[in-house]
Amino acid sequence: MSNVIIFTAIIGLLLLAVFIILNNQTNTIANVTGLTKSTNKQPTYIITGLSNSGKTLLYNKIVGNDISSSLGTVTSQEPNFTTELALPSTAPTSTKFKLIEFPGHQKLQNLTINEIKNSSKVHGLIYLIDSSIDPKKINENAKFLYDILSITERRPGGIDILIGCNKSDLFSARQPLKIRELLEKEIDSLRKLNVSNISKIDNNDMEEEFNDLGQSIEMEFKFEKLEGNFDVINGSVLKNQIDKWECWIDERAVNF
Amino acid sequence: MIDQFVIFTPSGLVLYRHAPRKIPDSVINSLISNVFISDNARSLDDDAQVDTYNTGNSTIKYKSVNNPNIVVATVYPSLTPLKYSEELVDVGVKLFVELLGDGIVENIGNQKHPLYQLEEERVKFDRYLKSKLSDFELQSQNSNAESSPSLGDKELDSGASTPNKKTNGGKSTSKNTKKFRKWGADGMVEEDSDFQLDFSSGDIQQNSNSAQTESSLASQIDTENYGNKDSKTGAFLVKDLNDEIEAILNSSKKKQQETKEPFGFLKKFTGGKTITSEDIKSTLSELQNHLIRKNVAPEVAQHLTHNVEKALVGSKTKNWTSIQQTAKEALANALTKILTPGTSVNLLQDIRANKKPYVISVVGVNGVGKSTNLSKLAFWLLQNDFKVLIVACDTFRSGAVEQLRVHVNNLKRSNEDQIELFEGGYGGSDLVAKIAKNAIEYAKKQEFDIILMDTAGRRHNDARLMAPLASFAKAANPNKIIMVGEALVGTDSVQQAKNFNNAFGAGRTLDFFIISKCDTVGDLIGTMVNMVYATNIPILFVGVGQTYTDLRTLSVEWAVNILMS
Repeated sequence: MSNVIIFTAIIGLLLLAVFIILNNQTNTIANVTGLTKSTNKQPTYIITGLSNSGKTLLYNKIVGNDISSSLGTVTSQEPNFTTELALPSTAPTSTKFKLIEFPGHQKLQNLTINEIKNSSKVHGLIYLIDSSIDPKKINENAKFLYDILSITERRPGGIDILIGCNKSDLFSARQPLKIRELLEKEIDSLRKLNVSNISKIDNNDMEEEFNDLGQSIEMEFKFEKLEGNFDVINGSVLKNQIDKWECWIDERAVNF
Repeated sequence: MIDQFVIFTPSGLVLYRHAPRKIPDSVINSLISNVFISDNARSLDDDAQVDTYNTGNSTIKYKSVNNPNIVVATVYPSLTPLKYSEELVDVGVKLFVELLGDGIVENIGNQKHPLYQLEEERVKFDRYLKSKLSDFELQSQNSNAESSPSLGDKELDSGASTPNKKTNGGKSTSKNTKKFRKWGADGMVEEDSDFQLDFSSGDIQQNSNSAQTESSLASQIDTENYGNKDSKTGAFLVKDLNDEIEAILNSSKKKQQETKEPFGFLKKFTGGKTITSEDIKSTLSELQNHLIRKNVAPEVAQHLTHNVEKALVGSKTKNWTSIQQTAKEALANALTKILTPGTSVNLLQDIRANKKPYVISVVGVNGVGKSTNLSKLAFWLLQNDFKVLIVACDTFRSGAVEQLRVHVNNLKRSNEDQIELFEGGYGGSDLVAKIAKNAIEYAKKQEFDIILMDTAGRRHNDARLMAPLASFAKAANPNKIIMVGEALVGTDSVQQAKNFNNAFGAGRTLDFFIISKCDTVGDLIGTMVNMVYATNIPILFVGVGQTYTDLRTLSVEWAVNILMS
């Protein structure tokens, strides 16, 4: 009699296990919302930048959706992501990469920061800038980049960053070298500001302040002194001139 | 006439766009950033099926649904109100969800583009929607006798006036030569006389059969049929199209009564469950109570949980997350969004960028710590080598000036020439404006970098006390007006923030909050949420103690963690 009970119990457990496994496979929706503390161990690329710099379109180009280009895009509220990116694009290996594209709105920038904190293998971060932007407004970009750098530069070796100067086909577009220079200057002044700013309320339980991004505050800030590689390359998503950026991604897929 | 009908996802992809008139992208983007991201424009009527948003010269009617997660919006010029705009959005939602909904959910689950292999359905939707749209336009024109029908609608107009043709269509023996027509992308008709349509045979005859069920109609949709339109029996096809649309609209109602799955209850724990409003009810009221215990005003807590409900009902839980967990996460996200400032806050940078003297004034209710936080600010500014003038604009409470003098004398110990007190004694509200003006004059002469103005504490619901603030703001014209609010206050903080924010006359609002006495409340920091919720104005600093160094910048992550714990 008791054998029968044990037998049914075992069958029940087996069924439950099968059910759970099946259920797991049908829904592979990963966790990319903020505040989730789960760590991401997959090799990852991140696309970020301010609103209206062309991130969503670039993401869809890289992933290979061309339906979207005809309809256009609007301001994103949520990240786009895929866990199935095959790289390098010319001769894909079996390793699947994760590509996440984050919204650029000021209120949602913490999503990017959280993801960098929670991902252990970020192969590269692509920061898109609208090259036709008014140089006076580059400040906002510098601020976001500064926030990103203050996370990435804490890591040994840092994280490779590509500044994609998008919309370079426009008449009013600035040269990548000029944008690099402007960003360098702005980040330098942000460093100086933040050193003298009032400290954050939660910093007593965190590591020591990292306002200077690991470079002496007496010296001028230089991108080339960063731990991770730093490149500034122009291109245009709309005109399909993204080969150089894709090469950059491929390079990091092979040599990591 | 609409400007644009657009369907997009939260991830920023446009899934469908019908744009009879060109409008800048910024119109839709401003809807997203103000309504969906910043939560600024709260709709007054929470139960409204379709919400309204106004920007510039355009009005947007929009509705968002969760499964699939899309927003359907119609844009039209504000000057010419559209009666059917809400209905159009509603029909659009139903048609789109019914035709493409499941496919999109599946594609997103498989990490494909939402419209992957759904081109056929999309074309179908396009036809249905445009037919419905011309229907609506026709109706509004008929009801509006003076307005003549526009060119494109003439054909439909003549057709609609003879709806009885439908019954004759199948039986007609005298076969007219019917012209094959193609509808080009721009809506113009391209005629092709070689091709003849015979309506007396095939699917169409079945269609005219009155005995058929609505559901079978839906299965018979042949995209080819809708590419053809006959000039004579135009109404015939349009009518059928309407039947199809009706069938879809009706079936979308039926579908809502979902069949129960076996072992469905397990999904509560394993994830993948579709959330209904009943499922989430108890969790939401739990979260609401949790927030209220954290000193968040009931009104704010309710709004937040309502937002969570809107975001979750109809969506699926993730793997291995319970509904509680999902709701908690959504609430944490909502709190983060509220507390994160929409513009970057950097006071030092702003001070350096503006011309001297930079005027900061501090306002607030009695006893919240205006003078104390003012001197904390002064201490920090002195450390950054600014020359600071403190102005005693509190001419009402006895001892207010003397209190400031004590602070100034304390601060002078380390910075002898860098700080000074400007006082004008005690008196009425005219004196305040006079002192402010004189202080600015004095600061210009003596080359002070920054003026910090202390004001009298006042009760926010006393109009007699609040009125002088407007004239003060005019006289002093401060670069920044900072309101000090105490973390202790609780529910009243919503009204305090609102009243102070509106006290400075048209075109002038508060710039920042300083939340004082945060060390006295432990983890009950709900006041922060209340004040930011009420005004959308960021918190600059929080006061965490009695000494000059006890001023901190707010960390949103820290605040959200405390609120959620």
